[in-house]
This record gives sequence, C-alpha cells and structure tokens, in this order.
Amino acid sequence: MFDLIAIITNLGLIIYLLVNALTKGIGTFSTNYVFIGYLIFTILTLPNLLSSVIFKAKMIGLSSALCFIYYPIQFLIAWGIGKAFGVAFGEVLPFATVFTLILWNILFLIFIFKNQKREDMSEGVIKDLIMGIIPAILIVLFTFILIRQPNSVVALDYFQHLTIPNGMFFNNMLCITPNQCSGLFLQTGYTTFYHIILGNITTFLQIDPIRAFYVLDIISPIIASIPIYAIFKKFTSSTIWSQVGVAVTLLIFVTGAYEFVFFIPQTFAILLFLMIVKEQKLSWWKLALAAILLFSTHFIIGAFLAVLLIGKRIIIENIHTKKGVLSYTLILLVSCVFFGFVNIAGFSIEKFVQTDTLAMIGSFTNSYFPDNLQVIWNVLGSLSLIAVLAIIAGIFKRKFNQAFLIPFSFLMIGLICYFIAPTYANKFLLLSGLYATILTIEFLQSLQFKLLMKALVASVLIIICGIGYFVQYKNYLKFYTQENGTVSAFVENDRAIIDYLKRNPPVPNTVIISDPYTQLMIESLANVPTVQAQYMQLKTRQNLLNYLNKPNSDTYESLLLSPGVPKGTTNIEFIYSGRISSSLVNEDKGWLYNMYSLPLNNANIDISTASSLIEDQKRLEKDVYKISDNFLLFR
Amino acid sequence: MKNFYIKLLTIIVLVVSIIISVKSYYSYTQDKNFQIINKKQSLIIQLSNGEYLEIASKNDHISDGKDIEAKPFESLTSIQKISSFQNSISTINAYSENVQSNENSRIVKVNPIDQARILVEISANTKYTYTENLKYNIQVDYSNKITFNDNNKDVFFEDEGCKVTIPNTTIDHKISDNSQSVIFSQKYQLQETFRFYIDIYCK
Repeated sequence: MFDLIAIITNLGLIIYLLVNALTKGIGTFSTNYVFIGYLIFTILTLPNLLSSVIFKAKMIGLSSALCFIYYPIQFLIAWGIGKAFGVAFGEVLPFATVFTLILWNILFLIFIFKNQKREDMSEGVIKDLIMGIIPAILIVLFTFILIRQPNSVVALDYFQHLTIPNGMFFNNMLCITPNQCSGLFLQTGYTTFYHIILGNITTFLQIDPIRAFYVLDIISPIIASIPIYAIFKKFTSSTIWSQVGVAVTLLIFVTGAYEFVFFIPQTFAILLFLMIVKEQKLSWWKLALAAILLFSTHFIIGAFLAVLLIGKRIIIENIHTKKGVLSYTLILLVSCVFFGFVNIAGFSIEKFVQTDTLAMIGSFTNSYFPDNLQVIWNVLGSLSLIAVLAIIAGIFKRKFNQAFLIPFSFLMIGLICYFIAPTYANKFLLLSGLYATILTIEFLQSLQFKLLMKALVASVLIIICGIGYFVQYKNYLKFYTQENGTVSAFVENDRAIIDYLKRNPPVPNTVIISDPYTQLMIESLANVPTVQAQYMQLKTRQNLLNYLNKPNSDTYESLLLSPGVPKGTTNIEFIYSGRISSSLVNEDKGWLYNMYSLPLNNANIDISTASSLIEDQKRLEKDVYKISDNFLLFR
Repeated sequence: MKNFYIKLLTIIVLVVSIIISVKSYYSYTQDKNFQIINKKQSLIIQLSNGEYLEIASKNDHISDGKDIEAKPFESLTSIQKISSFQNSISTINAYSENVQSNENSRIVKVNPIDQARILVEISANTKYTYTENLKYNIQVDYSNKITFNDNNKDVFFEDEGCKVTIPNTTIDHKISDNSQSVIFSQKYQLQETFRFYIDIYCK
C-alpha cells in the first residue's frame, strides 16, 4: 500500500508538471511552488536512493550521508565538460540539475520494483518514511499558517550564500572555498559543498531565489524528520513515541543553530550527522570518512559533530558496566557545572582569546550570566524540567542504556562548549532539543503509562513545546518585521534597484557602495560586486559616512582605500538609498559601530540630504539616475 | 510503588510546565501595553496611547544644587545599540544602549519582564572630582505634560487610558518643573547604578 501511495504521488506530480509545461511553458517553473518543492525534495533525497539502490546500503546511514558527494562530483564533471568543449558553466549546469531529477526518478522506480521481487522491502522502508514525515508535515503546517508569511525569507544567510552559486554560474568560477567566489565571507568557515547543492536548488535552473528559500524552509524540516524518526525508532522501537519524538524535536527552536528551521551549511552538517549517528561501531576508516565529510561541510560545527562521533565510538560504545556509566555521567556533569561556574566568574574564549574578531564585529556575540542561562531556558523551555527529571532517573537506573548515555553525553558536551563561549557559542546548543527529547521520550516510555495517559502526556509535551516554539520563532522574526507589517528579509522596495542592475550591470572592475543591507540585496539578487555587503567593515562604514557628510576628493579617496574595496577596482558607483537618507536625517549611527545593526526598512529619499553628494559626483563625471523613490544611482 | 511516585512526579512537572508555557506566551504578548524602540540616541518605551517614555543619556547631569552642573553625555563619541537583529539571534528579550563620551561611559538595559512590567538598569562610569552634595541625576521623560502623583512609595500618572507607575522607588526622586520628567538622584560615585521598574497598564 505504501509503495502505491509513493508511486501515485510521484506520478501525479510529474503529470501536473508536464501539463503545466505544455499549457504555461517551461519558463513558469522558475516560480512554480510545486516544481520548486519537487526539485528540493529530489535533490535532498537523491543520496538516500543512491545509497539504497546503487550501494545496497541502508537508506539512512553513513552511506547515504556520503552519497551527498554526488553533487560536488557532478559539479566537477560539468566543469570538466565545460572546459573540454569550451562551454561556459552557465550552459552546462542546468543539464546537471535536470539529470539529477531524471536520475532520482529512475532510482525510485528501481527501488520500488527491485525490492518488490525480494520480500517487498521497499514497502517497510516507505512506511517508515511516511510515518516519520507525518508529524513533520503537521509542524510545517503549524509554522507556515500561524508563524510565517507567504514568500517570506527570514535568514540573511540565504542571501549571503546565494552569492557563491551565482559566482560559479554567472562568472564561470570554480571555487573550493566561498571567499574565492565572493567577498562576503570574512572567515573561511566551510568548503563550497553546501553551495553546490544550493546552486542546484536555485541558480542553476534560474529558480526565483525568494520562492526557493521559502519552499526550502518548508521542505528541510520534512527531510530532517526522516533521520530523526529513524533515531527515535532505534531507541524506542515504538512508532507512536517516535512520532512524538519527531514532533517535539522539530518544535525546539534553537536560535543560533536553527537545525530544522533553515537549510544553511551548519544545518546541512547536522542533517549529515543525524544520518551517521545512528550507526553502531563504525570502523575507523568509516569514521574518518564521516569526519572528513562533516568537516568539509562546516569547519567548526562539522568538526564539533565529528568529535562527538569519535567520542561516541571511543568512549560511549565501550562503556558496558553500570559502574562505568555512573563514573562517566558524573564526570560529565561535574565538568559541565565547573565550566558553568567558570563562565559565571567571567571567563569566555571570545573575551580573552578572540579580541580581534570582536573588534571587527563591534560587540560580543554571546550572552553572559545570567542572560546565557535565560537563553537555555528560552530554547528548551519547560522541556528542560522533564529532561532534568529524565536525567536524574537515567543516572540512577539499574540497567545500562545507550538511549540515555548518547544524548546525555552530547547534551553535556554542547553545554560545556556553550559555557566556554567562543564567538557565536549559541551554535553549540545545536541538537540540544533532540537530545533532551530523546532523554524525555525514553524516560516517559519507561514509565509504561496506560494508553489514555500516554496520549495525554504526549499531547501535553507537544503543546508545551509548541508554545515555546511559537514564542521563540515569533521573537526571532521581530527583526524581519517591516514598517508595513510584512515579515521578510526581502523588502519589496528593493526590487526596483535589483531589476535595474540586472538589466544594466556595471562595467568590469566596478564596485557598488551603498548601505550594508542594500549591498547584500543587490550582490545576492543582482550579482553585482559590493564592498562586503552586510559585512562591510566598520572602518569602511565610517569612511562612507564621512564622504556622505563631506563629499570631496579627500573623503572620496579615503573611501576608495577602505578595507573591503576589492583590489583592482577602478570605478565606484554609489547607490544612495532611503536607508542612508533616513540614517542621516535621524542621526542613526548604530550601523557604524556594530556589524549587526542593519536597518531593514527603506524609506523614501529626502533629496536635500543628497545635494552635496550630487555636486561632488558631478566632479567625478557621474550622472545621477533616479531608480525609484528609494534609490539614486551615481553612474 | 516507586514507579507510581515517579509517574506522579512526572505529571506534576508536566502541569507546572504547562503553567510556565502559558505564562511565557502571555509574556510574549507584551506589545499590548508597550513597545521598546532602541534606535537613534535614546531608548524609547512607546505606549499604546501614542505617547512615549524616553531615557536619553544626554539628559544625565551631575550637580551639587548650587554651582556645579555638568552633562557627562551631552556629546557622544560612540553609541552601541543591541539591535533587534541581535535580540533575535541571541534570544534575549532585552534592549541595551552603550554610549561613550570621551572617557565617560554609560550602559542602559531595558528588559521587559512581562506584558506590563519593565526592568530598567542604568550604569554610568564617569570621572568627576567629588564635592559635598554632588549628585548624579538621570531622567525618565514623558512625551506629554501630565500630573505626577507621588505617595512616597510609588510615582505614577495616568494619561489617555494608560497608567504608568514606577513602584517602590527607594531612589531619591523629584518631578521636573515642566511636569514631564521624573528625575532620579543618587550621591555621586565614579560608578553609578540605577535600578528600577516601570509598570505600564493601558486600557
């Protein structure tokens, strides 16, 4: 039956898309939600099919995680073909994405029909997949009906990362690390592994990026629910408790980590980790492969997750006695408490070691006592109370239990890293929701409630986490709430300048300077170079303001020599935005002192604030173009 | 038997969790009475009646009541605001402003406790020579002219459907001549800290 559901759904989607292609033309696919959703789902699940059909391995495991390497390999082949035949990347890459779609369908059919011949294995696998994604679909409906607005993009990271596939596609560049393709990455934090996948989702088929990001936020928790369900199923052997586990895990909004909210490099690393962590007693070479894979996805989070896997293999999987469990858990607990006190005493890595980074950013990136404890409470909410109860019960349990030891260890290590507090320590709370949920579910299951009580307890758990999730998510969205009530990082007023620059790109060796937020939008959506977009350095921001206040040859030269202006720049074009104008009118200088002070709203320009700039730009033989009420372009 | 007590304890914890969760939801709906605006050169508590309370560093003054009158933050050399973007990524629902004027510095932290109460903490580091009766004064301004009531315990006023109370004020305070500001005073120290609550209830 489940086989049939899967086949009919896929066939229905294909027929719908074919009819659409015939009636409305294939060009409409770039904005068609169904096609975008289908594309994202196939791209993110192809590795599972590759693992099962080609490598005869588990659908969710190390093998499926490693199969994501398909995308860099495919990309390199496309690059090789392009080089061999003298064809630009932009002409080869769309075929690569289309090939992926076809390959997925072929593998899907093989998976169903080949397995039917041998004990109908696919039926069981698809049943598990459907059971796992049902709670995820419900959470997604809750999120996208009650929390998110249609077409909203609520992570600036998406715009930043989009510049990489854009650079590859439009500028014919092969980049191993992001900063080879874009000036928006102040530090090298990952390879372009993630960006190649993002390119397949957006740029390579010229999909509308705003819609792609929106649909990506819908699909990615559903994809994540598959390995999460498998993890719970392994620990609980119960479908219902596993479904509750999936629902509760997805309802924990970890600000900073965003595991199941966005699809960005760190959450991609987490997805891979979830596939791998289920595996028991990985051999050393498999462990090495897993570590390399995770590290290449995210140099910090990936490395952290790799350390957890290694720790699991070396320590946790070798503890077999109750005495060993007790000593180990106490050591971890005491360490966590110790580092908590060290933090309260004032120590943190960012304060004492990463002073240069802090100077560049302009403020601390972490909260400190008591606010940092408040952060943990805000993230886990009331679930933490039950998790604490589960931990106490787990420590004093007579029998050794891996379902306790693994999540407990990972939770404690994450908390220790959070208290040591390197920059952006919030990220180390990643998966704390999953670990706390495993502990809680395992504990509740062990109490053996009767059916009615079990349903009541599970419902209460989902409700309390749902409330916390709603509040956390809504608080997160405050920054993205525009003056007109729209909640999105994309401001509709910005479309005018993006469209203009797409039609009239600047000449080579030109860099465009504007306020950091406008720079981010035009660099990612119009593919024009800016001065490090939202990461425009504080010194450069000051020089920009100096020039705007007193436009003359001296201040202009200072601006030209500012950090972040690409070498070889021979021409600067100004975009005078409503954001700059209102900053000058209101003397709002917050954006000069802190990299994260980004004004979102773009007001109409007060032309009187730009009069001296217009005069000075005449000296540089630049004409002024009024693009809209919000933008003046000096070209 | 042991399992029974654990089950009972679990149910109690779940009930407590529900209460806490519902409370946190109500705390989230704090916009009913006020919104905090942390832009430009002050911190503004916008009331739902259209008026606002403002805490501005430029109004801080040091005086001995006779000859000395200094404004340590009249001209600022640096302003750092914890933006709502940072609030979003750090999950802390507090707003802060860190200003500097040469070697003087001042931090304000405004933390909405729930939908009707705000905790205000102001710490100022200044370098003035101490003289007798020297006091450090801060101001909470209201955008409208109103009548302040002071019962030696709470300072409060009502205006256009909103009641604003500064409860249990142990800090010396007085009302400004224009009847638009409450001025809090403390004996001058190099490091000065003011901590008080503001309760806001709008119909």
